[in-house]
Formats: sequence, C-alpha cells, structure tokens
Amino acid sequence: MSAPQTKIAEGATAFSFKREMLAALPGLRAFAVSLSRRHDRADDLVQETVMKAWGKQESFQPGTNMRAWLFTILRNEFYSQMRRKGRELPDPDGVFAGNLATHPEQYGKLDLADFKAALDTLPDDQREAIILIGASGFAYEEAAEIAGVAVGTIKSRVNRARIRLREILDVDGESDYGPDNTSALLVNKSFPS
Amino acid sequence: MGKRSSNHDASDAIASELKRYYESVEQEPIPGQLLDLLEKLDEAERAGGSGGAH
Repeated sequence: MSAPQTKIAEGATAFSFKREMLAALPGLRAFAVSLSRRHDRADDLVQETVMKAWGKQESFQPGTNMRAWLFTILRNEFYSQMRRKGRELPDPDGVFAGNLATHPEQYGKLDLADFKAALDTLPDDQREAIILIGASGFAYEEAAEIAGVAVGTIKSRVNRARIRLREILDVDGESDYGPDNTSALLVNKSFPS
Repeated sequence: MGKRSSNHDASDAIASELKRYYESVEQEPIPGQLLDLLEKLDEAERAGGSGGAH
C-alpha cells in the first residue's frame, strides 16, 4: 500500500484518527487472537472493529485512550458474535492436559504453542482479564472499563487465571530451582518441539 | 534468601510467558486486507466530506 501523503489542510483530524488506529492495530489484533483463540476469527473481529470505530469516530473523545476505546469495541463485538453464532468449537478444556509436551520439572521457556494452548483453556472472562492486565498493559481500572465490570472482578479473574495457568503448566512453585529461581526459569532450555 | 515466595516466581514465569506470547502475535504482519480497509475508509471520508463509512 502506498501510503498517500496527507493533505494536512483538509484531513488533519481524519488522518490522525487513522494513524492512531494503525498504531493500535498490532495490539488490537493480538487481543483479538487471544480472545477468539483463532487467527481467522481474530482478523474478522479486527476488521469489524475498524469499521465500527470509523463509523462512530465522532463519539471518540480526542485525548482519551484510543487503545482502550478500540479494545472495548472489539470486545463487545466478540461477545455479540458469540451470542449470534455460538461457540463453533468445543471447549478445549481437558483435552489439553494430556497433550502437553512439557514436563513439569523442566519448566523453562515453554513452547509458545503450548502456552497458547494453556491460555485457550481458560474461560473467556479470565483469559480476557489476564491478557488485558498482563499483556496489553492496561491498568486494572482501564481493564474493568473495557470489560464492563468492577475492578475487583477483574482482579479476581486475573488471579484465577494465574492459578489456573500455573496448574496447567505445572509451575506450581513447588519445585526448587535453586536460589536464583527467576533467572533459572528464564534461562532454561526450551523444550524440543 | 534461598526460598523466597516460590509462588511469586511461578507468577513471574507465567507473566513473562504471557508477554512473550502476546508480543509474538503483535509482531505478525498486519494483514493487507486490513490496511486496505483503513485506506478505503479514509479515502471515502475525504472524498465524501462527511461520514465516509457506509
């Protein structure tokens, strides 16, 4: 795509709106993949979000958080699609534990696919919460606003998500990694895939 | 210093894996379709003056 040079005089507002949107796309897409668990569906979601957001850009208040606004639109779109279409895939719950290629004692860097599989077993609301807080970089207050719930609810979802992931990935903290646990965890070799 | 909260370490590990996973998706190229869409919306708006999106 040849990015056309902007005619600043005319399109200043629209341009910065577009530019801010562009800047938000990678994160928005990562959120969509995390939420929907599927790339094809995620791209539909992002597309839908971009159209909706564009259509109601007047309702966006300049100076407020564009990312949070877009995430909210995407999140609402996801849940309304879920209501319309229902879940196409059975909940992967239970399937995963047996397939995990990772051995507890060797926990180091998980294969990303393994990590995603673990993440995908979380209930939607917990997955959403831990992603918003732990990966997208939102504050609890912002995440609560995006998800339309109280801050305390987000906190407890994040906690449950952490506990659940720890259980699934078998990093229950029981194993002794020696004095410098954290770096040992990070430095450990990846698992053969 | 030997055994500080091991739960804390487990959380650190989860937290860093979470970020690593998310960043790996963020780094994927944005599908061309999506960029085209934005471009079209922008063009339509500039051409039509108001309410570009249909």
